[in-house]
Amino acid sequence: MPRFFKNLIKKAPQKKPAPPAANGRNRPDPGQPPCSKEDLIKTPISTSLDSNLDTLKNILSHNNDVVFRRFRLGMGNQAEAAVIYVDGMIHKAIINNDIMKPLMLESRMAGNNTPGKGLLELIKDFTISVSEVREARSMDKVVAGVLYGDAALLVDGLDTALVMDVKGWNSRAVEEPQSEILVRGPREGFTETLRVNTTLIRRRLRSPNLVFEDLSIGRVSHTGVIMVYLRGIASTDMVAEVRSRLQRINIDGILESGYLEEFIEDSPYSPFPQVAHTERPDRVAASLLEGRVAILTDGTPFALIVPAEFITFMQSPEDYYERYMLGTAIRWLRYFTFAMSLLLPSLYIAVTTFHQEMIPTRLIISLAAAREGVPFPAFVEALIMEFTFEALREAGIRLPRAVGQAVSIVGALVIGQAAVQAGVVSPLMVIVVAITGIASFLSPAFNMAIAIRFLRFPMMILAATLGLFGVMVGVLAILIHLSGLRSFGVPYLAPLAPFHPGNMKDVAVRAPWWAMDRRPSETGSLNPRRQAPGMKPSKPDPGGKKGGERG
Amino acid sequence: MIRILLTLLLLGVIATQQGCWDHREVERLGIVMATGVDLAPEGRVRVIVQNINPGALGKGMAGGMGGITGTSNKPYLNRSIEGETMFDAIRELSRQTPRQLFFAHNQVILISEKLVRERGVREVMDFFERNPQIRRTTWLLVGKGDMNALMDEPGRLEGSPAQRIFGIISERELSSQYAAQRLGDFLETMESESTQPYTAVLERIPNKAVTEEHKNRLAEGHIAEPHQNMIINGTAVFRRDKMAGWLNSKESRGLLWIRGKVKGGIIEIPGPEGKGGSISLEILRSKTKMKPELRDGSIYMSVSIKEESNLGEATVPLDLTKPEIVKELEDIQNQAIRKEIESALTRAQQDLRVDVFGFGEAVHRQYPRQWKEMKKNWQDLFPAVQVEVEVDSKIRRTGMITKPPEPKQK
Repeated sequence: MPRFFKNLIKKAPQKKPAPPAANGRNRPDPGQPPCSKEDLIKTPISTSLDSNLDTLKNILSHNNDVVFRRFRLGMGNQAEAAVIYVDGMIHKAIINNDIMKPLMLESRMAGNNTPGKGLLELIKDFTISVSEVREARSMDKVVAGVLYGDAALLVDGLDTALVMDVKGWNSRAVEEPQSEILVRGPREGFTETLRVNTTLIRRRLRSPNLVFEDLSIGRVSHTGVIMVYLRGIASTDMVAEVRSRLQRINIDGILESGYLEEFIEDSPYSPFPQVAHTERPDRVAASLLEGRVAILTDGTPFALIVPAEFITFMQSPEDYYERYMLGTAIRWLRYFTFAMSLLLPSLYIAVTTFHQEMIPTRLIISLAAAREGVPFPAFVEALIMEFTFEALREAGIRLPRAVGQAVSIVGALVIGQAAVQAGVVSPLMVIVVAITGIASFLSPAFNMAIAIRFLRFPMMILAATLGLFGVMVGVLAILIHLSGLRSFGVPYLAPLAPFHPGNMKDVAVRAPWWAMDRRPSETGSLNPRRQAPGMKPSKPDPGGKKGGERG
Repeated sequence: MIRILLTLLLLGVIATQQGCWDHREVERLGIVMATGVDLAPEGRVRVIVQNINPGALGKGMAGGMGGITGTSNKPYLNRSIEGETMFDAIRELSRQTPRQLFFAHNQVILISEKLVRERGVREVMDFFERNPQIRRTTWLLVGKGDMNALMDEPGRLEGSPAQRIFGIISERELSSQYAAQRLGDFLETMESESTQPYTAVLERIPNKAVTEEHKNRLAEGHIAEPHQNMIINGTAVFRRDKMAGWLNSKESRGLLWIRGKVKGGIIEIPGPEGKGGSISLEILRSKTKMKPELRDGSIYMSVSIKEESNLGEATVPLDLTKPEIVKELEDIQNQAIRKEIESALTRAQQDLRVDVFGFGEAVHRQYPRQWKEMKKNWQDLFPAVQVEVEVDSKIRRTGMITKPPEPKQK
């Protein structure tokens, strides 16, 4: 298994990680003018408060949300000091009560009763009652902290700044994820705040081996990106590969995890998604337990999961929460409707225009009757209907909820009733398009559903020109493409091709939990066993029961 | 990137430039449901093609678009034309029909008795076997009487005569009184060295539901029953490709017994001795074993039939809880079945001298070496085949009652 990654790294030298300190902002950037703020940032902190403040004001000039508050300490000869923070990103109460108050008032009362300590220790260790305080010796640390909701304390005469974590901004509460609704399963979804998201995962996997590895990406945005994996379960090669792919990204800003997805996927020209995304912390936790790597991005509730094979887009978290027989049945329903959403319109076109002998006699009579008076060939008819349907669907998403309903009523009337009555389309075509539409909604992964939605049109053209032969050509082309795809080195069609019987427990069926005793070997080969053997519940031993209950 | 664009471009060219040459929309097809073939003067053939009018037949589907189709209400349309050959006639029809005739859904092929008796089917069979649109599962029937009238007898339950005939044949196992053949099977037996083809005969009979008194009511706006009915009546037996004779219902069932194709139907037997009356047994299933034997210079054919039936109706009081009564009935049933088989054997062996039973093939399988000699004059050997019929029948169930209803009051 690790061979994949090694080969991959070897074969793709452009994907090798940039020099180790490739931390977005430190990289020399050819696009920037030479004497820029980037250079100022690197200047060390001087002992003079005035010059430090000048430097900072220069860097953060014209910013009305940055607050510089100068005051005098209640100790150390009443040295001058300043607190710098971005208004709106901090808890004012913490700054007032836990930083300013002790420094200005309480330290005066305490006096200098801790002799032998420097001013820095006095402030950091004895005065400020903030849990997370970092020392910074250069301006870039100060600026980065301030811009991420920390408060910086600069003291005259000290060449070290204290960066204190006082983050506090308005954020959305943890809500039920809108894009992945389950009947049974946790209702919590990720939010736009990175820290909340890590908490949601940590609460599910309380293991010291759960690693949140911080990577900031974006020259301008400095977006927090966190790579999550379980040490000892995720393959180290895989983790290294994900890390190196993320580190080579050099872009001005990352606003959504979709940006990252396009930078790290294996085949950028494929319509098929090679990275899964989810709003559900439980799904991330499940993936981590399978040895996958998750990528959290600040500012979006969508976490990425890699590697993502074809089959993972067919699995819904609910499969694992409901009883396994139902899970299996629903999975098959999903496979079937997946094929239908890709093929139904093209099969209809091919059979009705080229292979009429395949239609049952009674059906062909009804078909011919329904199509009598329809002015367009079946292909054009299908195209009109599919186009209208897609347009309606898109309109329904974009419009405000109240208007959206009006659109769906109009759409239902236009498609279902008026078009048929006007003789523009045949009723059967409406049925075909409606079934296709419903079928495409069954896909648990939206990105897979839109890939299929997109491929439906070339399939229809092939069907209209070459008949069933064309449909077969299209299906084969898609299959060939799929079997050539890889997601982070894992064959896309695994475990179907290459066939891996051990992993079929989660493909053709959803085996009961006590039978899925191993992790999928594509991702979890490092630590294959996930449960002790013999977990299948068995009837209680009759001898033991007698003694136990009666006694 | 350029490679990908080029590939896409090429794919686009492939998809659009080949011109959809065999592209046909469903509504442009003239769907043929039945084809009739008749003899025409001067050695020509007459082809009768029954086209479906989907606008009238597929009403359920097109219900929402009333008024657009504007076609007449008759759900089918017969066209009749003469030609040198079948294909010639059909292409000649294209000057009359706005839609290309489409034979893939043809359900029934009707060949007129005249053609079958005088000319033979070999010439027209060439077309049916050669044309890729014709299915080998199409039913092949011999039509008696005027073909044009025969193909215009729609009934009221089915949309078209073709569907009506098809429906009747689908229920053939309820009577097992005629032996209809599919085109493929017919062709197979026609081209066999020994076996001769056979198939059922379709004819018109007057509708007994329309009496004189009934006819008077029609004047009062009563909806007319069709005055003629269709019936599949007996089996036409062929010698090579020409019709040699006709088997009636009983003889037809005899043929089916030997062929092992009886899957249902009613056997009428007289009640047990001394009781009179009659009893109807409904056949459930049957199985036939045929075993030839060459003994003392003559051919013996042992035909053993295992049959199971239910007692469906009895006009005499019988105590069926007694096994000996049931046994007695079974014996009578054996006799009845044997009689049917023997009637078919007599007809085929003595009168018509055609091997429709497949005896020749059975001999061929059992004695391949001797067959080489025999096949040359099988025609003469067949009537001399000694057939030993053995019937083993069982009565399984007797319906909801064990004793028939009987008025007890004096």
